[in-house]
Amino acid sequence: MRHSLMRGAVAAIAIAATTLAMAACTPSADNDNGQLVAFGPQGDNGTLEDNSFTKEVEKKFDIDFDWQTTTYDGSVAGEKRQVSLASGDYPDAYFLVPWVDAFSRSEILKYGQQGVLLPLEDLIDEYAPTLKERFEEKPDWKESVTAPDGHIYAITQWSECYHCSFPSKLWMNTTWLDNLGLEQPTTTEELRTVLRAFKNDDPNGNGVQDEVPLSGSATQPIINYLMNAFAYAPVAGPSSPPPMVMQDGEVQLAAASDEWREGLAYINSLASEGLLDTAAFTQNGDALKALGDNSGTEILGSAVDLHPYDFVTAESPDGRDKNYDAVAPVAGPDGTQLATWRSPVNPLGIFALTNKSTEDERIKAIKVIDYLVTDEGDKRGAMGPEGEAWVPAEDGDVALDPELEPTFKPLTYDETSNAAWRSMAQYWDSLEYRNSQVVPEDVYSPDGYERRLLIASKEYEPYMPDESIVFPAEKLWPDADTSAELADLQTNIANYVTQAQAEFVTGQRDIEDDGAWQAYLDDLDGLGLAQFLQMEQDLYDALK
Amino acid sequence: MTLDVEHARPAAAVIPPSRRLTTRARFSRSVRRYWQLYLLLLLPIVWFIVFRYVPMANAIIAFKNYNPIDGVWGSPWVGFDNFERLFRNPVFPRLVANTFILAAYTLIASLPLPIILALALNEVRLRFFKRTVQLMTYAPYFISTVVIVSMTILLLSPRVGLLGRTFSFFGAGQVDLLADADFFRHIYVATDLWTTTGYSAVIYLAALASVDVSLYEAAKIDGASRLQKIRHVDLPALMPTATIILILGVGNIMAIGFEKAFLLQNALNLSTSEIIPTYVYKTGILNANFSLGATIGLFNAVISLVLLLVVNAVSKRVTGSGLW
Amino acid sequence: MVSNVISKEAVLAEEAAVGAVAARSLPSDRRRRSEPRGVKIRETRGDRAFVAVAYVLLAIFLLVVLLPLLNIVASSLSSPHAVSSGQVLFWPVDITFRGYVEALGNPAIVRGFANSVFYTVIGTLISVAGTVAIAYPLSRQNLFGRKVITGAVVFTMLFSGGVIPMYLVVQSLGLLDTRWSMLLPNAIGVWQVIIAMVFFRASIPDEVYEAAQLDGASELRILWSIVLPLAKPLIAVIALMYAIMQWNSYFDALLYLRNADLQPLQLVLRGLLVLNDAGGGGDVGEQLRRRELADLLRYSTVVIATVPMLVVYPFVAKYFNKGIMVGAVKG
Repeated sequence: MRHSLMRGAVAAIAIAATTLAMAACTPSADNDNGQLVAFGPQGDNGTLEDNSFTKEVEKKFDIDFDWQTTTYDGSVAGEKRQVSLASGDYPDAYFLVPWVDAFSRSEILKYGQQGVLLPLEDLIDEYAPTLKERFEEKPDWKESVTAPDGHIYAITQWSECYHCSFPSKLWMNTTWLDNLGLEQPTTTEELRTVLRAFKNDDPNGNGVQDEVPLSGSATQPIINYLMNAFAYAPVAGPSSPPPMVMQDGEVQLAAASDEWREGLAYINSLASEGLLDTAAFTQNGDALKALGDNSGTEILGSAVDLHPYDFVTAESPDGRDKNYDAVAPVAGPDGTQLATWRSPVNPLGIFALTNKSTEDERIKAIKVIDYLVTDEGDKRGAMGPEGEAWVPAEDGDVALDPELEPTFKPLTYDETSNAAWRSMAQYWDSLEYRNSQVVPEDVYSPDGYERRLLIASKEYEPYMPDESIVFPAEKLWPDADTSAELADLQTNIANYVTQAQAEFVTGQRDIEDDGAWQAYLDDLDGLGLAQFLQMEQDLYDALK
Repeated sequence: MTLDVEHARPAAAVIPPSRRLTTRARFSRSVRRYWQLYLLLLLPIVWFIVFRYVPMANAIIAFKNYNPIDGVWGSPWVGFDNFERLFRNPVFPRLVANTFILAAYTLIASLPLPIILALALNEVRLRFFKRTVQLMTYAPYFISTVVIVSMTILLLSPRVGLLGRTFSFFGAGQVDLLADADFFRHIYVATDLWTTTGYSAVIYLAALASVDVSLYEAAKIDGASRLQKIRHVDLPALMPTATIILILGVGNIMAIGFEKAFLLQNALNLSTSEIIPTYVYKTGILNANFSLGATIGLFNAVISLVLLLVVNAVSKRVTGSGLW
Repeated sequence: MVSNVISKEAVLAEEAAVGAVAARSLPSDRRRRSEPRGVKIRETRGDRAFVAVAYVLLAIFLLVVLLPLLNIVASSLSSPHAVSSGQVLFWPVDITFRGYVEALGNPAIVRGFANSVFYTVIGTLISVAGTVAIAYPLSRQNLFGRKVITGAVVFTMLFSGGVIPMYLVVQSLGLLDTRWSMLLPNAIGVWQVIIAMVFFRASIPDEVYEAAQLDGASELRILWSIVLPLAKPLIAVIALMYAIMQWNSYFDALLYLRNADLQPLQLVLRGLLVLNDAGGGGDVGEQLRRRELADLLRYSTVVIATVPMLVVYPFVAKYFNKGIMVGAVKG
């Protein structure tokens, strides 16, 4: 009796489990009652549903949004999006934020070709006239969202943040220069002299040799600025590819050239003299800021960073944040003088439509995007209502770029207001648009900070590298067959280069030793450098 | 004539096969006797099936080139491609070694301290002190990894960190511990100890609390010193728990987290700080691949299983107790 | 009536068992002193030194743990500039409560707190019940199938399906965006089951079961009246572990919840911090202001998230500190 009971129970469980297993594996049917199911990050200033811009958009385009939200925390937001795709539980449309989490090109291709993401070009042609115009204004933008098969599966923002295009700037303490009677250096040797003076001649006047001539943090590679006096150093970051350059149409690893070696030797010489703070390779942003904000007297002479408020607090009690000015790229022994340049092309996808959306929903969604690239929609969606988040420019206001006609003045950012989509709506941020905003003229005040950065960047512009040597990593579209292998090669080589460079500079490896350098090159070969470069070359050639 | 019937062959010596209980009989006897316990087991077992075993079945995607439209069952098979790619990768051995060494070091280092803490707490009488220490040592467990790592890096910075300043105060010059690849492991383990010791001690405290008080009294009467009492009463009480924690820890060894190592990584310690999870993360950014994650998971599981069986067997031989 | 008989028998059996254990664990070549019970036995010098060492050890533990914690609390009450310039050690500099005002002023915080309390309390109840329900039977030596089931349980610790398969299960059960998705998917932890199993096996001798069964008590009755009261330290510990797991949980909430009303505290706090801490986007003015907020919030959110767990601890700790045990056995 009990036997059959148990057996029955076991059988029942088995059946239940199998059914569940079956059910768990088929994507649930879509049933959204005509609502536009949209996926996007939601902050803590209120829900996207209640957001007043959402309501305006809903009214204007007759949409009923059903928000699937994720977090602004980039480290986990991607998981939610990927899970939503994997489970078959994905939305009609994606409205993402690039610096949180967005579709990578490899994903765009994969999902586009599988039919999950829909081609947008016809929709844009018919229903998004302003976007079409903008594409014509900035052909690079259109090119960057067009996949090799000719379709546009996802679009990204167009952001021409001027100061961001020169991310590796040297900011130097002008007061110290004045105290020592020096000028900003223009060559590598002059830089060495200045740094020596910073270290030895007590520019902060406290009688103690506590000055740190040059430092940085692990998040902003300190090598780039200095290397540009020897060989072009492309943009680098934690998940960047290894530094590559073009030479006569061929892709080369920048970090394997003789010029690169000379650059490392120079940097190493600075480090061994104590002029370059080797902690720059290990310390985090907080530690660098602790250097800059050091209580008591200033001890930071210069730093390589995107902007000075990274390493010194705005409106510091003793006003030291006003002391740092950008130094134009210095020239190397053979006259090389370049600036690391970041392209405005963004290889991500933040807006996409899926095959779950109806024709009607698609049209409405694309109209929303179109609205967001109009002047009116851009301001309303990205900043907020007029009068609350911004006001029109008045007479006497000066635009960020003084040569442009000023258009609007942003008001103080209110983090509690839930009236705009903010970053979720920043699709059109062209140079002209950005630079026509009104910015106070006092560059050393926090309000005028943007202007300070613009002026600094103007100093770097003449040293922009020529197109022929820049390897456009951000323009490449991955090849589905090879992307897995390429990912491995890229990670291995990039890791190795990063590590070896740091070791050469800090002296753990001897840069002067030919054997050590050869060993470095050999190791790179062993990691598949030749194959890697060939694959990159193929991807580059495919662009034409 | 057999006078000594009672002393005829002891019952336990030889039982003819026909008299030994069959498996089926043992099963039914067990069910009849313990049916209430089986009933109790029912719901949790169902839970395990639904929330643990069913997802495992779905993990078959390790062997497929997964895409969302076809779902799990429809995606095309690619067999062992994922595994091949993994093993062919020249850095793979280093990754495995780094992961394993880091995890093993963490496990071994984190065993003794909670025990020592629990024993020490057991010896002192000042209630206020005892409660304060307990509360405070348990608090670090709740601090997020991001904050802990950021504070650690700051602490160890040669110029501005407390440690760095102490070193230069004593004239040791600039010592950048963060730049030392070998030291990475020590830093990692130290932060782990700081975070988890108080929390782990809780289990041992509970084990000590359930030791019968009369055992202590007996020990006292016998004139045992505190040290002897610890050796003969406390430690044996803790042994089963400690053994289990060790075994479970070994079973979990490949499940080391990604976050802390990733945050502590820098250009100079990559040779030890690049572990499997951080590597998968980096390649994952470049090439979103669900199957790879599952492949790694399977690889980890196999290693963990082998280790678990080995350690369990060893433990049973040495201490007599194991997981089963 | 019956219960009295059982407990008396059980206690007698217990004492016999304990005596047996005691005899086993003490070295047999100890010369036995004939001092009667109740005489105060003076501590030897060695023992007093030992206790002193214990105090010193604990003081070191305390210091090592406390100092960074003090730094965090002090930083949460100091101005961001004081913190970044390294002026804050263990005491606030430039005292400001803005970090707390910003965090606590957010209406989502209250909701998040209430949700977290709900998930923690209910989740812990479910988890403890489930754990005992599986660990107790598995601790009984004579249970047929014990080893197989234990093995199957431990196996799930080695290999999990992963995030996506779990999501599929939760989805197909219709639990997405419900409170159940916070309470069920991780209800039972293998660690806790094993610890409970070991505890049951080690602390409840066979004699107890035999005595109870002789009295005709059913298994469930044994569990309820005899075993559970003895297992208070264990229950306290696993309840604490589950409560902490629930309180800290963040990823599950992120994955399974859409409705902001259901969000637990950690999600709200993290969201608050991250939104402001993140790098790009927006004009420079906005970025600066957000960075300033992030600096203010960084430490105050840590404190807010931690304090409730600290408050709860003493209430639970009394169950696994000595003192409770004496009453439980003799009574």
